[in-house]
Amino acid sequence: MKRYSFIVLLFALMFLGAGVKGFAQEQQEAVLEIPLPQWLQVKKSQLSKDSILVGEQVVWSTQMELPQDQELMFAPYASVVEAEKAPVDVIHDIVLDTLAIRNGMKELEVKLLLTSFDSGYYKLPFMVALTPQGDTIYLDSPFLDVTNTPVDTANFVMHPIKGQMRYPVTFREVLPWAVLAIALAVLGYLLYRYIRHRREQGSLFGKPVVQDPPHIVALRELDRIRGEQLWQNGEEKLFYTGVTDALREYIEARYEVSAMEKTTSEIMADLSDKKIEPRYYKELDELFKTADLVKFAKYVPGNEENEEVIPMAVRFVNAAFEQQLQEAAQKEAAQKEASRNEAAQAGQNEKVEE
Amino acid sequence: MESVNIKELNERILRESAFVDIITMEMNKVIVGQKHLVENLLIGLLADGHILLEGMPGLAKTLAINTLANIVDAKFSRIQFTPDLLPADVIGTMIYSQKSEQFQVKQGPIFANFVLADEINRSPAKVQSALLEAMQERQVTIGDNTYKLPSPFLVMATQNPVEQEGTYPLPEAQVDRFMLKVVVDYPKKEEERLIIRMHNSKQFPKATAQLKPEDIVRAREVVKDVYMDEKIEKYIVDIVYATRTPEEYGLGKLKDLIQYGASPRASISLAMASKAYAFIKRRGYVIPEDVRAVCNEVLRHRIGLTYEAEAENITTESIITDIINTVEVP
Repeated sequence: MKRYSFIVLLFALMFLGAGVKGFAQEQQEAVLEIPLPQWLQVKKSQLSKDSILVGEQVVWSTQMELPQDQELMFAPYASVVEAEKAPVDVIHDIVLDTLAIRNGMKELEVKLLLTSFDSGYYKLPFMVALTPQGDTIYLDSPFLDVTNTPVDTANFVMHPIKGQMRYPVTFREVLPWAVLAIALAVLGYLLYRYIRHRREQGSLFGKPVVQDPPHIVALRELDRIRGEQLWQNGEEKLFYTGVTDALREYIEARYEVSAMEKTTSEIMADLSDKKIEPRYYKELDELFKTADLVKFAKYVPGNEENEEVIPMAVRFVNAAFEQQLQEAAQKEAAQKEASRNEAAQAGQNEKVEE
Repeated sequence: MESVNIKELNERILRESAFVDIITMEMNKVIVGQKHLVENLLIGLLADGHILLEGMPGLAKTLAINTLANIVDAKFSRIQFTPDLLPADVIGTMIYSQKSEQFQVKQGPIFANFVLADEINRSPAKVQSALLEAMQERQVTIGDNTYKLPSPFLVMATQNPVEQEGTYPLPEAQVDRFMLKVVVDYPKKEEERLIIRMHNSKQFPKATAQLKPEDIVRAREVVKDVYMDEKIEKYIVDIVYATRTPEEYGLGKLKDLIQYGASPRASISLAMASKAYAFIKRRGYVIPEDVRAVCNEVLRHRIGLTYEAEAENITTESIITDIINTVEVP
């Protein structure tokens, strides 16, 4: 018998959801008079708030007591609301909970989470439940007052619409972009280095550029100036400027003295500790001083003086180059000597160990 | 091409610059060390440029100027700038004479060949302005009449870099009117010993008058004749331009450190001071060394630093050094 009742109950529940719409509407007026069965006692039915603002949420909880062996199946409240066209929305449908079982009775609690977007004073639709015997039970519902935000029209001040709120960017959001930026920067730098390297080598857009040694560049420049025959045509200033510029560039490359940004006395002071042979050092000093007179004091030197300028400059460049060769040879010899001494020392140590 | 006989020019300079030794000797009698200060006083005197001296108290700034005035036998006046000083106290005013029942002009201390404006930053802007106006125009208007200031007219102002409370720092436009800003440093140990000895002796040495103001005026004419080649002119312009647009001279790192560069008045002053320096060195022509020798004194008060530079303790001197070391020497 019990089994049969249970099957009936299941079928009833399946059709209850679909049929409740029309059924509830037709029966609503009638159910108001239908009393609750003797075995069911509603102990409490209340809302968490009697009054809510539009959109606010409210919990409707109903506590009831019924015999332990009695069952109740509740219809989805959303379908009841839909059928009733009630101005409420169900956020969370019925949750049934057994609170206590004692003395052959059980205490149940039914909870619903509701809201409303229409202002007004409503009576909520009944809660519908079915018994295994096929009886329909309508549980009484409370009243709900839905209000709007009160507006003080006397003191109301219009405010501009607030802008979109921007939440602070999190590290997680930034991380991929940061990694990308760093990767691009590294890539760009490597590309720049590569292009620069290839360009220096001359292999990017042409043949490799072979840079002549400074003394060759200087001698070539001096030869070019001599060929232009500047002083012979009254261009002494241009002649001396060309010669001194060639020498200053050579000094810069050879001795690492920033001669282009230094005055004569400063250049000579910087060269004083470069172990240049005194004769050439003196000649260079004279040449620079004469050039200063020509360049800055409208001094016009004699032909003999002019003729000596290029040979003096060439002598200095050659002497400086020879000195460079000697220094390189000395350095090499010193290195060889040092490595020989090291080898000899190592040999002695081996003998001592033996 | 106009040819200048270098020998003749140098001989003329040698002849006319003989008094430089005399001034130096007399100055050295009283001032121990401070060669830099003495040399710059001479440059200002010969280049007709006013000088601003900055240094800690007790570094013989006032004494040096006083001594120079004594040597030249010129009219010297000293104005102690105080917060309550008025423009009339400097330039003069109209006073009512009961005897003649007329207003009479009472000329102020500015009517002198050498004016020492001591602690110029202690007076408010209106007094500084009155003095600096007179420095520029070399004339003063009292009442309805304008009076020319005597020649040579040289203002030497002092200020000390400490005790800034209650001072009125000279505005950029005013400070630009000084041809040179000389920073006076402490003497060396040996020099300081000599100073002590000198002060402990019974008689403090005193400079004697050796020159007339007219000698200075004549010397200034010779200084103007000192030859400056167009290459040097270009070098000066390059240096001044490098203070304005350092990035064009490969000094991009200075761009954010300089608020404003030197004015065209700086170029004029640099040229004149270089000529005076060449004259002191007995040369009839200017060489790049001369420009470099006066560069700091001429430019240090004409370059404005940004907050960034000040925060990094970068001085105008270091900026000038960078510029000098980068701009190509002709």
